[in-house]
Amino acid sequence: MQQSGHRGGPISIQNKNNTRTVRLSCGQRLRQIGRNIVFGIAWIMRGFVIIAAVVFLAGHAYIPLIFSLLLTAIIFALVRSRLVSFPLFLNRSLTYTILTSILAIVYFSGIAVYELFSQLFDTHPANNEIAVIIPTLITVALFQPLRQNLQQFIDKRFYRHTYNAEQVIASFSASIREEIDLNQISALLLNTIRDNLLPSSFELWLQETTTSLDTQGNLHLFVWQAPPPPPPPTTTTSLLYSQPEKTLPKHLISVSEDDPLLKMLLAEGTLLEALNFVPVSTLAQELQQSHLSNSMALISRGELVGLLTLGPRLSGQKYELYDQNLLSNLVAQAAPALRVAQVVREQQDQALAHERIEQELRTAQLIQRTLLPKELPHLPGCQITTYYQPAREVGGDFYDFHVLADGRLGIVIGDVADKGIPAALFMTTTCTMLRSVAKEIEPPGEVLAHVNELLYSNIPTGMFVTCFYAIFDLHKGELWYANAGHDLPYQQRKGQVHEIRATGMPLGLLPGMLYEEGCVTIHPGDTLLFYSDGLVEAHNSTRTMFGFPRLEQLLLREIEPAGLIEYLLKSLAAFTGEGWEQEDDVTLVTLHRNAEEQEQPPMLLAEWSLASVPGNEHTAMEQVAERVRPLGLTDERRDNLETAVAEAVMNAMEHGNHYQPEKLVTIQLFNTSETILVRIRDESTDTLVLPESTPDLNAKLAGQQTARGWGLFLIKSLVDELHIHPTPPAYIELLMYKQNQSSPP
Amino acid sequence: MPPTNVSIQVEQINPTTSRLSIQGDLSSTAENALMDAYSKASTTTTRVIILDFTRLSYMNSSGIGLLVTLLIRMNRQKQRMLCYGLNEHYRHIFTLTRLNDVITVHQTLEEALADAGH
Repeated sequence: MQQSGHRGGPISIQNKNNTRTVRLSCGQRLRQIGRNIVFGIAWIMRGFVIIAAVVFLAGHAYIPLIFSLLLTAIIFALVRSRLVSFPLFLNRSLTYTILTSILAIVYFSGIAVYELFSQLFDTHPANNEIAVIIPTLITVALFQPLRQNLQQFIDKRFYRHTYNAEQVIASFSASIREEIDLNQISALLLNTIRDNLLPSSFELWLQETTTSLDTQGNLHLFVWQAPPPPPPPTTTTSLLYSQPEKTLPKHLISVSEDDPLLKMLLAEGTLLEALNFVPVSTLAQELQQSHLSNSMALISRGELVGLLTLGPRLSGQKYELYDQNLLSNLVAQAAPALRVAQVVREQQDQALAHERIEQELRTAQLIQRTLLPKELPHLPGCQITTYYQPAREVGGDFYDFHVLADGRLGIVIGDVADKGIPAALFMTTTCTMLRSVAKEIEPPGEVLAHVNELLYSNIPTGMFVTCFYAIFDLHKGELWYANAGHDLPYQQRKGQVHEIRATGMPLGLLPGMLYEEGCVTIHPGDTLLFYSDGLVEAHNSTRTMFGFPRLEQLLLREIEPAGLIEYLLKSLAAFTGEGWEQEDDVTLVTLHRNAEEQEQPPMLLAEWSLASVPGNEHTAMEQVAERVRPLGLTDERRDNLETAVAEAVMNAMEHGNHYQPEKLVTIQLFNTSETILVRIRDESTDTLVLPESTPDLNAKLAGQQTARGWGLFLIKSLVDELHIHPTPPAYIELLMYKQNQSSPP
Repeated sequence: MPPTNVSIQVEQINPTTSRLSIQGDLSSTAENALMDAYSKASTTTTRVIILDFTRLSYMNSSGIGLLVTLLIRMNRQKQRMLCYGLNEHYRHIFTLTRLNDVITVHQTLEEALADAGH
């Protein structure tokens, strides 16, 4: 045998069986000739027997003797020259001798009965022809059915092995002809072997894949357990045609391609005893452990499909030549069918795996897209733009905005260090935690520290989250921030680019982490860029990384802020070239503060004053309502503003002017393209001090707080922004956005 | 003393339930009117007070303070406060202040009466 399998490919062998097949074909032809001769002889012999019987009855005893001698001489010559198979010759001779004898008995009995019938009823036969014709006709009619039954009887009685083998192979061949299911074919083969050879144990060890040689040259074989025995058979037919039971894969066995037993199995193609190989062969040791004593290779087109393994026979007898031939026949038919089934199964598995991966990818993308903000927050005088493009295998990028009190905006950008559904799910967790913690705690560093503690106790091993969290205060023009290991954002200002720096460990890695905070002024005209590593770590075809220096260079150019993201994406596309497969999610968020913001002051729509008299807050409310009506607020939001104005005016009359009627409360109404602003001022020369405590209904009901003290709380709750200017001349401003936006929390 | 811009009608629906119908503004000037009305409405058998807000024209933070004061008094008497007829704006304010946790808000008198056990 030559073994030409290279590593990773199928084992290829050249089997000696090819030569054997040619020789067998020649033998088959000779036997065919032999059979024809025997048939001829059988016909002649039958004639002789009939003639002999006639002559014997007539008293010429020497004639049959001569014919018998002549016949014996011809048969001897045929057998001697090996023109016929001796067992077959015996078989046919036996069949036809008995057949002829029975027919002769029937024939003569018929004549005798006819004679007797004629004498009993004292009738002379019409003529002797009838006495011959009727038994002859009966004999002819009986010939074919009698011959078939007799042959079957003899085959079953005296040639059971040959009879069964033919039946078994024919049945097996018919069953697997159109079968492509690996389980079904395996079960059929094992069932057939169980029913016919009665081994104590038997297994099919199939190659895991059609190309299952690993890099170490090991072959991986799947063990298919023997199906459970069927209920006791009642007839031979039920044995042969019993339905295959489902087989189950048990475990994997690894065998070196150089294993001596494996080599021998491949070379011989016959049933071999494993016991002799135990000291040198892993395969033999595996077989011994499984109480399997014999094995035969299943080979299809020179490639190993698997091994058929058998334990000792239940009867204790050895596997005879007949058994080995039956096995060879079964295996020769099963091996190509199993190989086809393996290929079909591999293709099905690949299709399923592909579909499963695609489904997971779709799910992860859906989770991520569901969580990312659908609408961008509205910040007067600012433009916010975002871009998010997941990689094929979602990378866990996220961004979020928190609308905070006093018109401030929380900005989050982060990346979960994982991919697929786990990353998408953990991104959801992180975003939710950040949202809830940011409601309770203000300083960004403390928010990250708190979220780090929460994540640390929940995060799967090996996963962590980088995150940059900042609060942008438009009125102060400040960005207050902290960083948990995320790529540093850039501030673009007057042709220069600055990193917004702060240090801190990624979230979820270690407990008790502290996060450095920073604060930068965002001037009118400045642009902030937040991004994920999908941009800077993108590679081109020469494996060069996009990198931070390239990004900084791009940001130095004067690009229209609204087009910055598009410009960066075009630069990325130009860098990576066509046909680039995105390696990681690409997320970009820009925040641009309009340059002309301060050049266009809000327009004063109206200004008026009211005496500090109880009930005048009602008047102020009605006056504001009338003037604001054309400015485009919804009814609900206008109601909110009116109530807030009434509260603020009442506050000014009571605490600023102490309800001195001659002291006035002045109201100014400003209008900008995006906001309505109501400024309320009293005549107090004191610094404006507002109560810090938040009213708590339960505390009030329990008598721990006064029943009153709801005014400032209502104002804060009802307007979008409340600005307090405490130094004299002190005033407060109530601001409402004209666009539909939910009230600050 | 500023003029009162509220009138409150008291109705004893049955020995356990009374209704206060508030017409006008519920602000600091309504304090006496509200407390007087409650004194009339509350008997030894009263368990539920229903506030009718269908003709309420204005309520401010002082009005909310008055409701809290009234709630404290009613809690001492182990009485429940229900209300109906609030418009959307004041329902929003009830939600913001969490008054809707302690004053059950209904759409109609029938709903309020059903809640009171009639």
